[in-house]
Amino acid sequence: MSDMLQVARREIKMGFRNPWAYSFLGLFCTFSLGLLLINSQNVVQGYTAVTGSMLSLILYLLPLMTLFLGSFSLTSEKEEGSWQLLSTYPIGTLSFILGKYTGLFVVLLAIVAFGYGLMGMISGLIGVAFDTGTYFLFLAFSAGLVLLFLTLALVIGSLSRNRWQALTVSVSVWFFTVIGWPTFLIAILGLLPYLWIKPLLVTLTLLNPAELVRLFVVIKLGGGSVLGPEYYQWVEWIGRPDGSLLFMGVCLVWILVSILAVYWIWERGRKRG
Amino acid sequence: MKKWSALFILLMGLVIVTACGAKKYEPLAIDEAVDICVICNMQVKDDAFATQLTTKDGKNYKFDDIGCMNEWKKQNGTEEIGMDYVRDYNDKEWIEFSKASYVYDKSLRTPMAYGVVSFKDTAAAEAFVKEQGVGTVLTAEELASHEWKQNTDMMNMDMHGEDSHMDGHMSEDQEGTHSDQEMDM
Amino acid sequence: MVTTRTTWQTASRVRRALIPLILFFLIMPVSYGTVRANTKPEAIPLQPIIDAANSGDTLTLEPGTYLGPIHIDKRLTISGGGRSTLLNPSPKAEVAVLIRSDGVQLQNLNIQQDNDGEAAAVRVEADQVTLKNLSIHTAGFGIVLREASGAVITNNKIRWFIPKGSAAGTRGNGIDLYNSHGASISKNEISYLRDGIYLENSRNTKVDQNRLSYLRYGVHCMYINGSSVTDNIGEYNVTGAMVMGVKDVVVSGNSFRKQSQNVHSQGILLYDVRTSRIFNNLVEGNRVGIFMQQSSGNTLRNNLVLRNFVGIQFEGAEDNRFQRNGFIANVIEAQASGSQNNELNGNFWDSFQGLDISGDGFSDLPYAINPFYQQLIEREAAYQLFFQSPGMTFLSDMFNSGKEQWSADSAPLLQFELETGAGTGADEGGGQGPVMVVGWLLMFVSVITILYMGVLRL
Repeated sequence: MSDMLQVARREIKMGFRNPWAYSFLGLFCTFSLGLLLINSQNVVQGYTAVTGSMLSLILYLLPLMTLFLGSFSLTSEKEEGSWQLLSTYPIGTLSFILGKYTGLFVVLLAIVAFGYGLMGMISGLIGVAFDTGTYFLFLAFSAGLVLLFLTLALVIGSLSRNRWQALTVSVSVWFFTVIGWPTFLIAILGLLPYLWIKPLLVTLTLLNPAELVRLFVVIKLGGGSVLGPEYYQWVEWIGRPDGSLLFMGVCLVWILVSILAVYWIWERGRKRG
Repeated sequence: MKKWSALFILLMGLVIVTACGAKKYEPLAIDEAVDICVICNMQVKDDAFATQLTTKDGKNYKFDDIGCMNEWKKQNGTEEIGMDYVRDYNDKEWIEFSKASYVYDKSLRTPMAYGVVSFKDTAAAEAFVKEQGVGTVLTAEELASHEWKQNTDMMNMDMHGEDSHMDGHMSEDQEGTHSDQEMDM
Repeated sequence: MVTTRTTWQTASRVRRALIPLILFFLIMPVSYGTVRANTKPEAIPLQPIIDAANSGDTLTLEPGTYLGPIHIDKRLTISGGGRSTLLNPSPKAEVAVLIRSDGVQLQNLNIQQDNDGEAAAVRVEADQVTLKNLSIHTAGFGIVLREASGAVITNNKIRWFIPKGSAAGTRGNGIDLYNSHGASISKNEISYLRDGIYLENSRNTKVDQNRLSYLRYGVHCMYINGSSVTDNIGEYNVTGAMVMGVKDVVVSGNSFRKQSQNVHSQGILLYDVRTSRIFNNLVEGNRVGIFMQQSSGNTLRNNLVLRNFVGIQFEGAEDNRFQRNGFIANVIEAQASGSQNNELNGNFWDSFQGLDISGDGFSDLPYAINPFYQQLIEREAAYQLFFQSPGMTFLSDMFNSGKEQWSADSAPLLQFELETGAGTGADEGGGQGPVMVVGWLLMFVSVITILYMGVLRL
């Protein structure tokens, strides 16, 4: 446990000294404020064009930021040789990975919190009516997105040999999960029999953190009916308070499975030396 | 992760294959909360007027009136239909379209005013006609040459709206020239 | 009260009770004080009183509880003074008040109909009947008109009522017209029923200034040529106005809001509507603002489409004129498929960045409606899961084939003044304060974290 905290502390320190962190911070603040100003006459509440475009912006930016910062942190351990050094100490691989995960999460959360803090402040100053529930929902949505993509980032970082490889893989994963997703799915599912489409689509959506979190927020914003009759029972389910618990459960399973995968990769690497 | 998802997809696939191999073209229950008529957008009530059809690739369409199902057939043809169902007027049991008996009368009120109701056998249909005092009993084949005229207004009659039941048949031939040729059952 | 079950069919018992009741009715104005003192809900059968009256009479009921069902077959004016309640305890009687004589007026009366299914509180089968200031609680239908022309139905309150211990049965319609032409339905308040105002085969009906909420369809019209639906307010219904199979109808000044719960919710649905005019309506916060299908030759002007998931949706709509409508803050502004020859111009689309070279306030670039998503989900409804997913937007933008056939606004309006008061937005729950406080707090915490854990050497 103390090993884990040590690793986490070190990670946070390194994270805040990383210029990448601040460039993403700047980007996030600029875009969110821009959106806020464009929509300054509108109320930010429920599922409307304002919240819809905010959702898209966050979906574009946060996963990319998380993937970059997370995977780079792991590859740099390899590149700079600090992992080789750490391996000689009696520190468990799991403590190392969990420490990394927590540390990075704190760094990313601080960036997100700064962005939202600024947004909340400015919206108060310029008099945008920002519904409290919507604000917290977005905050939770961003945190969830960061949590889930961070596990992906760790997987990428573990598998990549160096920073450039991590960069390439991160960008392709981001493109696949955020932008290319419907295109790929429609292309592939179109080849399958009709009755397969819906179950496969649902399964695959559960595997894509970007879609999973996005749909959760759309439903919680009250936009669930837009998903059509195919999903109305789910929408009703998630719309209820225990729906949030269910969603958190799914996220937890997601995180656990990926952390175990990362652990397995590193453990294998450690044994091979 | 990739291995897991591959396995999961495989499993899902298996489940689906076994699921749809077993039962095909079964009539689905009407869910009033979400089912709307594919043609006219009205909510499909879980009543005797509801109809549905399942295409050969498994798509299910529900209708609030037999006339709307007929409209769908007119637009999409009947080749792709796996099975189509109507309901018995008395006990709401699903019956195959071709095996049901029908009663038409202009004065019968149905959700989209096509005035056709369905029965599981001719006896039930004849009993209904006797009870109502109006109506013509039709088989599914005879329905193919039916005109599907909606009782939309009393325009062909005098303006006082004094429509007695039987004079509907006289105005029947004035509109609706398209008898449905595609419905070769 | 349930023990004295009299229906108007059981004539003999009525006749026996008739004489004392006539006496009672005559004495009543005199002994006003004593009747009031007797506050116990002694239900008075109403039918004998009606039977005793002559055609053309005006009956003013004393405050109290009356027993139905009643059958009015002569030209009477019955007024309840607002404090009289008519019960219909007989489960056999489908109708609490049956009106079969022309020119009857019924007003200021509370009516309670415990029977559900097809049972109605008031059923009218005669012309020129007036129903005013009634307050109806029904487990079935509210007011039903059959072959009844020229009715005037104003200021009534109709809502759903569940008798104690019985399950929610099938709700009926609030006001239901069939083959009843030229009715005027105004200023009624209808809620928690199936359809608020259902009109079938009823020409030249006026539906004006009604308030409709928590219903399946607020106004549901089928085959009602020449009618008008104006200045109604609807909230939380599945669909505000369901207009189907009509010609020459006017839908104007209505406000339909917050109809987004059901997967088929919409503000106004126009199906098979011809040569009608739809103008000055406000649709706000609905799943789909205006949905137009298989309709032609209509004019849609000056409608305000605010904060809907989908602003307007066209499917097989042809030869319609669509001008000067305002689209603000809709998640998707417009969807169109299979819709040709519509004349779209001068609408305001808030997400559209136009270019005005000529300086006339209209963009010289057209606003085209991308049909990709709609075509996709028409083929496969399961893909609705991709609604406004960033990837879907990306894919739609790449899809550009046949652009010349897309529905497009040839000259979009570039500036749009929102009238004050129109579409004031959602319930502003005083969200600014907490959000600002939390904002400060978050800033503070994050800055401290960054400084302490990252920058400072501790």
